[in-house]
Amino acid sequence: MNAGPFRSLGEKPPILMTPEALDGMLTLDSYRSMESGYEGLEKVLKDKTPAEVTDDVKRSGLRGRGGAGFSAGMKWGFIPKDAGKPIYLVCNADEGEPGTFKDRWLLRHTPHRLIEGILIASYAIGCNRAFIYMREEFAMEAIRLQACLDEARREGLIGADILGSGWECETSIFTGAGAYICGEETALLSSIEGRRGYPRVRPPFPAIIGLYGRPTIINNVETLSNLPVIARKGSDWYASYGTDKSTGTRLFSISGRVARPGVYEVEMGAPWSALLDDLAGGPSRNRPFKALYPGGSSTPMLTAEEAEGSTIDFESAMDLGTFLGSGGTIVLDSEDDIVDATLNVARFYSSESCGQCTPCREGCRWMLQILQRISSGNGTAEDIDLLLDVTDQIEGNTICAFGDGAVAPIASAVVKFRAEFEARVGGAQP
Amino acid sequence: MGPQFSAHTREILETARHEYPEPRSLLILALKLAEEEFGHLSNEVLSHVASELEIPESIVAGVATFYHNLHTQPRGKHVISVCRTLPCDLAGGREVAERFIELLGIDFEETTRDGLITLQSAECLACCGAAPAVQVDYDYFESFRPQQCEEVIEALRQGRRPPGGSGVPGGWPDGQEGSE
Repeated sequence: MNAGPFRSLGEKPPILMTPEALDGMLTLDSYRSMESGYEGLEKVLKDKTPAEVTDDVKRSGLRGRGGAGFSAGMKWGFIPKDAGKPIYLVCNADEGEPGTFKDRWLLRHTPHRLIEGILIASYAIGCNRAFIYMREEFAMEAIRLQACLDEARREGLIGADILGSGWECETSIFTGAGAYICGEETALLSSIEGRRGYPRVRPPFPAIIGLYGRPTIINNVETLSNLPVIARKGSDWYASYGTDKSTGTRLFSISGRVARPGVYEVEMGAPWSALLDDLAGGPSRNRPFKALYPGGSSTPMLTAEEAEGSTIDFESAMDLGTFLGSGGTIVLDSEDDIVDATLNVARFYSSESCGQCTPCREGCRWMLQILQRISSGNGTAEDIDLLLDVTDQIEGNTICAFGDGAVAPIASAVVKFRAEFEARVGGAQP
Repeated sequence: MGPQFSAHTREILETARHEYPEPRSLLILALKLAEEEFGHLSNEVLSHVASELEIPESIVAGVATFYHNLHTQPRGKHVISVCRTLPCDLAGGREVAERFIELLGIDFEETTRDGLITLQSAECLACCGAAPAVQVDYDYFESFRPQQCEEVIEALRQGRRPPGGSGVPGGWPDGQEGSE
């Protein structure tokens, strides 16, 4: 798998995919010597109050890298001041969004950086017990991370009186059992509590009532991995990357019809061509790009022209009616069939709907059935509008964002490539 | 007398108990350990887990039937998972799946008659940069080609670890730790 090159707007070096990280900083010694590991933690424990750390992260502009893109510092700030104890932090390492494999890269290459990030976040929110929710398939990543957790504990970085500060924090891995929905933060909490991974109604948000009914913050692996460098170099330094509202860099995992699929770090505000062409090497089959899912299959599809005229940042994505999601870009070229791609995506959501809400449980199955009809040449012209009608019935009518995520790639494909669907109905084969 | 956890399993659960404020957080772990110990999660096994953790049987059964990696029916000794999500599909995952189906003579979610191999349809394994992805037990195989299917099945039939995988420690006799 390709990994590493960085595309910035100027001459800045990468933040996460540093040359040292590419080599692999798997031991505490290497993390300390190559990247001043755990100095950020030491600095905040020595010099800052939890509120100051939260303010720093707010000022850095860091926004969640799991999908929603919400300000990390603001999310932390939602914990009530009079909450009491315990307060929990959960690191979401349940990466499963189709096309997304950047957290797996971080887990494999910079596990100590993640642990330091978890500790900094825990300190900021007043948490003494953190969990890392990891999908079961990441067996190798879990073994590596566990070894690093053990090492950190031996060195007094986890447990009681961390670095002589008097502050204590425990952290351990919770392994899932195979369910895409558990990447949804409230489903994840249900899962840790030994229940079916059913998402919960918000409000109340987890920051008020979360794990075991206590205030809880859930942050993504990449979000947390940015904290050590912010602690070490400061929020202004971090905010010097990217645009005004989309600061820093972000990891993209890119797959599909590109010459060099892999994980890359891109400064926010870079043009899409920097990712698609410069880093991923352009088309793999000498055919022009046709479309892409910018941030995983749950984000509305963009035509290649839309992407090529735009930049990679939260605001530009919103202007195009889509999201950067989890940074999992899947690229299709002119030979790819949009109907078949949409059918594949529909199959995924039909298989992974948790079944709690009727519109999603039934609707995802209906969308799949309609797309099977259209794809096999047995559909009618009415089926296209029926499909859009079903997407309407799901969107906004479910407890969590899964339903909207299932609708997004399907509705956007029909709207943007309707001719391909029309060519397929009424017995016409491509 | 129905199934009973071994002393070893009880010990693992007892250690884990201290990690969580509420014992119900042990349920998924207990079900995994039960599956390891008894093969699959039969009604008798679920009852045992329920009484051990003092959780209602209905909740235990609900959880056991929710997660893809918990199984209430017998499974093969080895599991071959083929990712069917879009990036893998674009990269030839479908041909890999068809080849496994042809060679094993079974469909997805079925087990060979000798009980050796279960073929499983997997959702995104977060390996899209080296698609198509196949997982054999816990070993990842990247950029998997249909030509490798035979080799993998042959190795499993001979009790060997299939070559070319990520080599997750454990689960295989010494000297078969893979290449990573």
